[in-house]
Amino acid sequence: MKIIRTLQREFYGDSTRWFVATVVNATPHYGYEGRVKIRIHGVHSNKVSDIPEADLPWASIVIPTTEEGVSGLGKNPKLTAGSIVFGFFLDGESSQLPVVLGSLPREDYPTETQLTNLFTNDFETPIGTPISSTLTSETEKRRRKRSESMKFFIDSGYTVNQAAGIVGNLDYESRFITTGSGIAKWNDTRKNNLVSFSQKFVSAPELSENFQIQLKYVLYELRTNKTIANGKLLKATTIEGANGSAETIRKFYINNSSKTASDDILSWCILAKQEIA
Amino acid sequence: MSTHVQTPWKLSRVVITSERFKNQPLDVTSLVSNLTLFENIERPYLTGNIFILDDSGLFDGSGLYDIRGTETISVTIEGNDKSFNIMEERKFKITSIKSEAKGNDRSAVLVFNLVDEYYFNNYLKRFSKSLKGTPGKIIQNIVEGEQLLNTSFYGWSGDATQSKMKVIIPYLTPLGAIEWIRDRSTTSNGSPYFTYSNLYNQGVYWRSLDDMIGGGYSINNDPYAGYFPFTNSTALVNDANERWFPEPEDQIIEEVEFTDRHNLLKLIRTGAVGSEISNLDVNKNIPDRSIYSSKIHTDTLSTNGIIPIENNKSKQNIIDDISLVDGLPIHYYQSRYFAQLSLDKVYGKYNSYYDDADRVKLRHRVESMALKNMLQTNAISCRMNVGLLFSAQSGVGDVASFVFNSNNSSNDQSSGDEIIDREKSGDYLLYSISYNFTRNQKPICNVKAVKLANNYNQ
Repeated sequence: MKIIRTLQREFYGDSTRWFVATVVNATPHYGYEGRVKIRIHGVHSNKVSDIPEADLPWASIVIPTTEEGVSGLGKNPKLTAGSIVFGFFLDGESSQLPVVLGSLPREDYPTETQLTNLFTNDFETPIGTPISSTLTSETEKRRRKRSESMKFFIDSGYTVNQAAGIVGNLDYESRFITTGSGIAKWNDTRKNNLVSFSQKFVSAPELSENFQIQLKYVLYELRTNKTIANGKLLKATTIEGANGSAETIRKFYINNSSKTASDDILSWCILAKQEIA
Repeated sequence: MSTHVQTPWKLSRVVITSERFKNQPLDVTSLVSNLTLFENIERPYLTGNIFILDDSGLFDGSGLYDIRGTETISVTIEGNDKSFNIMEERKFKITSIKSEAKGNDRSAVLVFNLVDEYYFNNYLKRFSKSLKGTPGKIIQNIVEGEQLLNTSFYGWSGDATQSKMKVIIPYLTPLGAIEWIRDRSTTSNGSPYFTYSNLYNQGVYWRSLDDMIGGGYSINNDPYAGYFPFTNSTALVNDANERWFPEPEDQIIEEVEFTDRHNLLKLIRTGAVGSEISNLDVNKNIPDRSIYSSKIHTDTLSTNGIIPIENNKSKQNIIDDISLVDGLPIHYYQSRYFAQLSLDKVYGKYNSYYDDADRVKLRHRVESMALKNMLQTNAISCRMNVGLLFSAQSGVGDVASFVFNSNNSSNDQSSGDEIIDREKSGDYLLYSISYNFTRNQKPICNVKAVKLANNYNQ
């Protein structure tokens, strides 16, 4: 018969497990000073229904050796809700006793919820408005979506000029508004395909109006149903010109052949490129 | 002379189902030649394997019934005269085809590995969730609630001494979480809890060693009024082997083997004889330490009526508390030093998995581990008449009194004054059981049992 070990390792230091977590509450009440409440990636479910914020642990924080750390002496940590922290568990795999060692500085991005909420607010400029008259009144939300789109297509393998061709056209056509015919002004058939596509990610059909899913759908179309557009786009080295990315997307992806890429569309594409510069 | 029907067990129904079979269940009852099922007190589920004779190409891939390892197989076993069921319909999952042997072109014997359906599903339900309550309530919640195991919870015999706690299950399977909580649970005497399952009820039992020992002999409805004898009377053995249900003159234990007993060195190495545990609450900077001594622990168990007492001493034969090493009994030494840390108020007003209110509860953690290991040094392997277990619906977690005669050749059996081997006889906890059902034969039952106490007082 095997040896029974109901106790973990003999010495606590032999069982180390580190973690990265998000601070959800950095304003502890009386008696909990110097602690933060954290949700640990890979240990704590993201579903609030599984682990409500109230049930998350108040982690202790290691402070520099230049601080006393006894009986309230020394400086307090300055973490805030949303901080990303690094630490370890005092109890290894059981993962009940977290200690924070430090924080990881990061750039803040809008959350999924914040992005979804963007659609509830009208933009200030009408679709197709020349860029020269809108730059000063453009909303921050639209700029963020333009920036996010550029990063998305560059991360998907396109050059900056190629990505700018896609993003400038989407910006001009829809202002990135996902409701109605979507960010690429899809016809009914393509819109129905978008709904089917969105269900691969989430079961709720209404999330076909999610901005990130629509970006993924643009990429999906370019790689499946719109391979001619994609092939020509991959050969484009500039934004401008007959073989440029702006004209290629307008003509072969948006399917708006009634007019050439106007100066306005080019301006939106160049503006998109500047997001990365 | 026999008052019982000597018919074998009956496998009344074995059906394989799967969504892939298009609502056409496959009844293989008549094709089963052998079924083996395993119970173990450390496992809250059953495992096993089943031999199926396929002489009509059922599983050769040409028909509907291809086995992929997710099929459900429902098994029902009746007792010999239908006065009781050995196993009500129980759902297993086929996890793999253990082997397939073709005797000729027209037939093959397939052996499927089986596990309880909820054990299979358990691996698909790894979860992270905060749970609150006493250890027993948390386990009951995982077993019956939360849409995790969805099976039954049995054997409630009082909750653990650990107080209400809040834990966050760190992406464990439901059964993994149950074992994790179980290992934290002790009685107020420092005795461990076990989680197990048996043939008779599909589900999870949760029961303390105190309850098992304190309950004493727990198999009723047997002709021996509490004692399972093992004798060397070959005249009786032959007849007994033919009988489905034992008669008073039969030996119930048919074969026995004593192996790897009294391995005191193993106990010393695990810290089960003497050890120290310490805890440092990092926030409070309050260290706690507690010394564990098997001698003090067994004496405490005797004082509390858990194990017998004799001449004001605990009646146990596991730890040698007389012999000296460098002038001191071995239980004076601490062969292991367990060091752990805790953090105060991590979960607010609730205790965490580690919080112990006092040093006694801290020591319980070592005591429960030590007792589990001690049990294993007094183990035997034996083959038993299975009819008695079936009629009493007894399995692992139950206690039986085993009686062994002395090897003393001068023992005069004709006088009726048999000399009892008091070292080996006593109350035994049924630790693991393997049931083997072969068609048209008496079931074989191989048992590993661990001795709890010398309760044979004749």
